[in-house]
Order: sequence, then C-alpha cells, then structure tokens
Amino acid sequence: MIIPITLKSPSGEGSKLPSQLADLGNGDFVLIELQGSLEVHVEDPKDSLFVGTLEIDPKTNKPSLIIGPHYLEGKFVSLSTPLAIMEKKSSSSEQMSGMDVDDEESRKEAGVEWQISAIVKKKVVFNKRPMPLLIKPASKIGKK
Amino acid sequence: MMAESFLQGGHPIRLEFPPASVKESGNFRLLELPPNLLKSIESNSPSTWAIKGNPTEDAVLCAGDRTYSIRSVSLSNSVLVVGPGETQGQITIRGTNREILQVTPILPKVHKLVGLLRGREYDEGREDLDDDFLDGEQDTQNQQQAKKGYLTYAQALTEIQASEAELTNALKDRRILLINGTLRPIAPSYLSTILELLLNSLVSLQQSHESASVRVLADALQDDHEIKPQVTKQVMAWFGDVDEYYWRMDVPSVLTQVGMGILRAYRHDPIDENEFLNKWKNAVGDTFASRAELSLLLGNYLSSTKPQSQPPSNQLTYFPSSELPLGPLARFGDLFLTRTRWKAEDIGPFLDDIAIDRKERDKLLLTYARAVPAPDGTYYTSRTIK
Repeated sequence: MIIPITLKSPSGEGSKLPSQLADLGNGDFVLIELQGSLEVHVEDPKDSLFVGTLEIDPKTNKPSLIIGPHYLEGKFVSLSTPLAIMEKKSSSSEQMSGMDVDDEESRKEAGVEWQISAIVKKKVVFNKRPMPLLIKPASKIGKK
Repeated sequence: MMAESFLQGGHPIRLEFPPASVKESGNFRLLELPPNLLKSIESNSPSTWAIKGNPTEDAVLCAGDRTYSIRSVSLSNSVLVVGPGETQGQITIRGTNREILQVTPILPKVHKLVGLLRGREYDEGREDLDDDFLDGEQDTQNQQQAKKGYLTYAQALTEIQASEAELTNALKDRRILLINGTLRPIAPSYLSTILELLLNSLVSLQQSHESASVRVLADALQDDHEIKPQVTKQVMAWFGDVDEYYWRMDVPSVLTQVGMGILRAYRHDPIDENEFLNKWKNAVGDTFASRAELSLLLGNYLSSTKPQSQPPSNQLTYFPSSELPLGPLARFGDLFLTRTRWKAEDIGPFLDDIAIDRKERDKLLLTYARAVPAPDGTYYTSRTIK
C-alpha cells in the first residue's frame, strides 16, 4: 500500500498570514502551542468563532494572547528539528479511474494522499499560567 | 493596566475558529524533518515521497533514496495549526495536534523480497517457460504473470518498504532479473556459469574488460550457450557499467561472485584455503588470478585452523551473512552459536547488512555482545547469561 506525499507548490503570491508571523516558517500555516486545550461549545457555527487576540510587541518581539478574561504571555521558540505540516487530501475519483489499480487493497486507499502545506522552523509557545485581566477586554477590543 | 499596555502595541491579530464549512478540510499531521529531509524539500527536487506499508507492517516513509521509520510522539501541550483568515488581521485555527511524527533513517525492508520470490528462480532449463509470454500485448502479459504468481516490478514497488532507488539497488544486490516485467532471482549456479562464460569469452574474443562490446558478448553467449541476451545484459549491468555499446567490468565484484560460487559447495565440509584459492584463480583465468583475494569474500566464510596440520594451514567454510536472521538478537544468537568468541575484525562483516553505518554496528556490539580484551586484540562473547 502506498500513500503518496506531495509538496505544495509555492503559489507565488506569498503567504497570506499577517506579516508579524511570516518568519515562523514558509507555507500557509504556522504553529501556536498552548498548555491545555481549547474547548468549543458551539456546534457548527455558520460564522467564524472569535477565540482571542494575538499581539506581537514590536519593541520586545514578545507575543501575547488574550482569551476572554485570560492574559497569556508567550515566546517564539526555534524548533530543534523543523516540522512539516501535512494536510490530508482525498484525490477525486477521476484521477483514480486512470490509475492502474492492481488489487482491492490499493484500490481502497488510492484516494488518500498527504500534502506538505508548510514547513515551520519556529513556533509561538504559550506555556505559562494565564493571568486574570482586571479590565474586561471585550469592550476594549470592540472600540478599536 | 496590563491589558492597556498590551493594546497599545502593534496590530492585534484576531484568532478565530473558521466557519463550519472550512473546518472539514482540517486534518493535519506534524512530521519532523531531519536535515537531509529538509534539504530534499527545500531543494525542491521532484523527489518522490510516500508512506508505505501493509496493515500488518509498521508504516515507513520512503523519501528520495532513503527509508525512514515513523514513530508517533505524544505532546503534553496542544499545538494549533493556524492558517490565514479572511482578512490580513485574522488568523484561523485549522486543526489541533497532540502528537508529532518522528522519523529515523532505517535500512529498507527489502528482505521481504526473499519470501515473495521463493520458487520463482530463473535457472538453466527453466527459462523456456517464459517464452509462452513473449507474444501478446504488454497488459495481458502482465496480468498473466500476476496470475501465475510472479511478482511484477510494479507490485514490488507497492509491497516492499523501500524507496525506488533502494529497490533498484536491492534487485541488483540480490541478483534478481527483470524478465518481461516480472522479478526472477537468478539461480546462483547459473549466475556463476554466465560469469565464467563471460570471462572466457573476453579472452577468446579478445575483448578488453575495460570496454567490451556488449553485443559481441551477448551474441556469443546466445549462440554458443543459449543464454538469452536480455539475461546476459542484466548480468553485465550488475557487474560493471553498461552503456549502449560497451561493458566496463567491475573486476572485484565478478571475482567475488565467482569465488562465492565455488565456496558455496563447502557449507558443511571445509576446504583448505590454498586449495580454494587455486580453484578460484583457475576459474577466473590468468588475467585476474592475482586479484582473487580472500578479503573480497568477507562476511561469507568462516576461517579456522586445520587440526593437526604441519605446517599450520587454514580451512574455509561457506557461511554467508545473507542467510543469518535479521533481528539483532537472533543474529547475535546465531553468531555465538557458531562460535563462542569472535575477534572484533571477524564479527564485523557479519553485521554490516543489519547496521546502517559503523556507529550503529558498534552500538549493536555494545548492546548484544560483551567485549573481552586479549593480548591479540578485542574478542566478543555472548552477553546472554545462561
């Protein structure tokens, strides 16, 4: 059984990510590491769901994240080994019909492939305890 | 106060979960890239990467000309895969990962070929069976071959956990012929015959081993010995460089193969070292006799002192490392059953095919054997406590 891995060809128009995050790697994605996990209680939101505000201080180059009343202080960490972000792709059926499929097993898996969508060499890490905010940040953000 | 200083900084970025419609596509894995893999990606060479393995096997990554084992490592933190949002000031969470995949270079798992090709040997007298397939279209032919239980090259590429370059090498190393799209290991005795005929023909047809005419040799073997040109040509390619017209013979590898052919008969009863060398030199002819040295056969024989001989002389037994078990524990078990103690330089050649480099070989020795210093060098004994 073979599952091909392809490299996404550079689109040429550059990353659509905010410029502050551009040097984390090349490709469409970057990594943000959090202690614990994010829990979402809304199911199938039609619109995108706001999580928090990420900011990189231009003077100290320190990232910070506000989620609800929590303030998280983070840092940029260089990865000792770069990571490839692979995305699962299912190739369409028309590609399959043209393939020389020998047996049942490869037929079943023929549609799956993984695409390397980004290579990251740095990540943003928030590994400290969140600090409570005295002022409710939602109103502040709303003003901006 | 903290929030205020925070908000005075640069441009805040809104971190969001995407709408439900986008979420579906998010299925991510994080793969560690050791330096050579990173180089392979960054050079953007059209190398083929693939994950290979059947449900009963551990999956491996075949990238370029190497094979890697894949291990999943759990993280205590969660890692968000974040992509661009609709506007410049937005980013969206596309996936959450709590594991990364680590890869380690390993030897390709080509040993499976042995099992898959059992009973498919290409030998003198059996080659006629293949003539049935020479007619008809390529496709139906492939189907016929597959039905008969022959392994095609395309099947091997799917079944064997190795990159294409490694598979090609394995076919060469294991002397497996490609006959009408199917893989056929050549019978060792038949291979020796062909090589000896080639050596003889070089002399009789006055061809130089540095640049011998491929066509002349192939024709001679076909006319006089009914050996198919496609077989002769593949054998020539295994033992040297072949371009369209000329063959540049790789002398050491031809000598090794001929030597192995002779040695193979002495699996149980040893042969006197000098007697063996004479036989070997005879078989390869005067031109190459001086280059037939035992060092070419390392890892394939055991040398011992002949009992009660005067003057003392050595005798050899056929003992190929290719027939030893692959697991290090079983390999060392077998080696120490054969001999209770090994000199460092003697045991080395029997480990080369299970260790990727010298460093790993030394690591295996440290793990599975016990080093015992002696006046004439280090010896290794079994680590197993009985």
